[in-house]
Amino acid sequence: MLFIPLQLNAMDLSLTEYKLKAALIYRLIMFVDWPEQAQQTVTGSFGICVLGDDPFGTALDALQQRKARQYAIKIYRYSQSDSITNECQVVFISASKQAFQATILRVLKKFPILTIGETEDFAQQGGMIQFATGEKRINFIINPVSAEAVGLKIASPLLDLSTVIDTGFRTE
Amino acid sequence: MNSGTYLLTKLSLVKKIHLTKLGYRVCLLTLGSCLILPASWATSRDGGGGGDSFLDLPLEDLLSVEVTSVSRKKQPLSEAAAAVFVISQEDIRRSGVTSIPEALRMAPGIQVARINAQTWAITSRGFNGLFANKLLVLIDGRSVYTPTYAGVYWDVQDTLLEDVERIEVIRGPGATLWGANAVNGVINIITRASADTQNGFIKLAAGNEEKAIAGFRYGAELGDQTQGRLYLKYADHDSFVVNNTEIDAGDDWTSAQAGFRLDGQLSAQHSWTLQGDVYQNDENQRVAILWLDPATNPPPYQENNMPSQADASGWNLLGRWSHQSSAESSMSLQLYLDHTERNQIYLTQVYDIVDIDFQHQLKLGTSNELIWGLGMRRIDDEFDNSFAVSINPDHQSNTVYSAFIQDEISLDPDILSLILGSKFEHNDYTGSEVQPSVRALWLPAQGHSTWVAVSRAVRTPSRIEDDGRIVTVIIPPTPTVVSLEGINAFESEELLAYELGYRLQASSNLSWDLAAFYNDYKNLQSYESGEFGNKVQASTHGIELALDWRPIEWWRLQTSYSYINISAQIDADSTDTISVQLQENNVPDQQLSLRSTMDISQRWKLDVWAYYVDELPVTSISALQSSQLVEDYTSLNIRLAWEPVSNLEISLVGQNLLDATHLEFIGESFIPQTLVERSVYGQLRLKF
Repeated sequence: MLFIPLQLNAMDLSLTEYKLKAALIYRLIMFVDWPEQAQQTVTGSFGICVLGDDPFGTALDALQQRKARQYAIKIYRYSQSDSITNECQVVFISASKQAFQATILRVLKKFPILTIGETEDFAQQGGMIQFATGEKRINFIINPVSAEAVGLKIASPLLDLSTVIDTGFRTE
Repeated sequence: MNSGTYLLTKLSLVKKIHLTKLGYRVCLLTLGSCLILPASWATSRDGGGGGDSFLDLPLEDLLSVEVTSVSRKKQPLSEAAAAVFVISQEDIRRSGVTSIPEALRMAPGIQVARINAQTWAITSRGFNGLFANKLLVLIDGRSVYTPTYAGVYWDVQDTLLEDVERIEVIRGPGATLWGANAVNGVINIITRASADTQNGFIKLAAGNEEKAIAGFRYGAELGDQTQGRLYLKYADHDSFVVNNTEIDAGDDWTSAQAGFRLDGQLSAQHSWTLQGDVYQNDENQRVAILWLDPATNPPPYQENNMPSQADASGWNLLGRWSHQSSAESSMSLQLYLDHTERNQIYLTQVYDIVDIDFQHQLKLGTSNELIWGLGMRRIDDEFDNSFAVSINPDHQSNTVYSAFIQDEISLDPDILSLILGSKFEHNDYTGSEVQPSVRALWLPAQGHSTWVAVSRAVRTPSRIEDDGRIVTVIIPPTPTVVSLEGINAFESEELLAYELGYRLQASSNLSWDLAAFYNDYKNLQSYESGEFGNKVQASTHGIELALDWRPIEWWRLQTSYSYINISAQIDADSTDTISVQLQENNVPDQQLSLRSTMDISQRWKLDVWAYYVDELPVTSISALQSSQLVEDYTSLNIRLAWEPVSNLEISLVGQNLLDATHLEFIGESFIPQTLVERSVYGQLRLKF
């Protein structure tokens, strides 16, 4: 990966934690490839869904002004995993669902959906991308095996920026 | 409780992320395509609302942003060494409550009783009454108890409920960090940061008892480093009914309130907040007995069942500045002004309070975390007396100086901590007061935490106990005026509390929280032949249990149970004939609350809340004299909500459904015995 900083402007900007995470979601989806038939929903949009209590407030809604590749982004919110079928390309699983995380990940692995979460054991349990807050910065923990299991391909530049773990889905 | 709720000790948390370098033009080679950011990024950063420019930041930059917290102590709930229960915004919304006092019923160890449409008796761990005085209540760090009787006027403690982030209910002495009057508990109402309440919100509700409720809020970004909101709220409450009759209790009331909040970040280390509210309540009150001056009135020198108009109004302004000088040290300075007026037929009271508070938190070495602080509060009051109730002198200025220090010593990192602290106060009634506390916290294994605490707390005298006069009866023919008078020698009430608690995260979907206490009280308020005295001793003990269980993904059950036993005695030289029976019987022996919240489908939610309150044999002097007890009751509340489209919620709420009317508490003689009525309302909430 070539990284050429051409111009540096020191600026002060304040971002709340979830605006940062919304921006991260917007950026990282550009490094993931969906199988052809699952790149868009039936309505021709790209669905980013929140399952459980939404911690983003209005931060995620700002993505609806943008596109993912050529598809308009739409944000949906769900309170139950069984309601999610084909409107979502990405599902952010809220910490409020932590007690049922394992079950939810099993339900969602039937679909080519990119799962994102922020609980401590998310990637360990088979979640694909986990936001981890280190001493000072947010970074990714990625489980590429579980992504590949549903037909998603995560590009190596993104893997290079993250911690990669290897558990995939163990069949029980 | 198992999703990492955070407890804040004293100040609200501000977690901001500071980005210091922007404006890269970057070329990222990925899968053969090159993402070049617009060079105009530097100029597209607009001052008007910020918009979505944060989405233009490249991935590398986002990952190098430093996350800094400008905050006071922030600990996961499971690690707090006290009996804490957090009522979240979701709990408030889904319980269907329309006021803060009603929301407090969800917490164990808190006794809430509605005396009439506009008055509540609320306490923690015993000693309830209209003038309950052992609870400290704070709204965003501003103390709201009235120095008139050291209690709270609940009808004016309000805000837009959707803006409440959470209510922390801490039972037991919170003396060390909060000061005098936090004897049996602290209730910390924390509102949401402006960044979390952006854009518009409207709510409208109408019903039989809640005749009308309207709320409006709008939040916006004001530049890149500041967010703000403002809100308006109006409520019209219907009257209830007088006990044993069909007569209207004449206690209907309206309240109107408006306020604002601004939060800003000057840099990664500095943040500030400014907020204020203004309110006006108009209340109808029926006074059961108003005693009149025999010098100018004919016998029997009283008015009965008099309808009267009361009003209460006020405004407040609070500012806070926080500075995180390093990973080891942070400090904050808070200043607030609080003006309240209350005009009732038997007394008018005006208060002006100025409070300054400074706190410094620092890590000393690897195992000591120290917090210390200084504070000063100046209270100016003014009363307009009546014959029935008077305070002399009718205006006065009191100043309270306080300092506190607390050290959390990590004896075995992440396993055993010892917390030692004390608060020192000087007030104009009793001089110096010292309130030390020792706590230990032990985390024996993953998911288990135990704590023990021994603390001393005091409840300092109020204006009425020191300088008041309340006429209790006038006996013809002389006539003899019998009254209850304050004495300058009134002492502080004292508590020595021994507490113990245990929290268990039994599995990923079940958690328990158990607290037990033994409290030893000295110098409690007594009535000594027409004067206030301090000749009651008491000891109480009890347990509180809270359970949180999610049997399946879309169903959550929360239970809380409280048990208390109170035993009181008067001193050998006391002439009090009432207090023992009163203090042993004004809280229920047991309380149980069960809440079920179900997300029955993507669009429908059904919430059911049932709570049981044991009987109250004696709730006030007037209840004792009329031998009237308050029977035990069960309240059933149901809420059904429908979200037809994502920003709109329509709900129907039924409260106290099991009985058309029921009695919860009998107040003092001047309030008629009033029954709480069954209530139903429909509500619309819209975000835009």
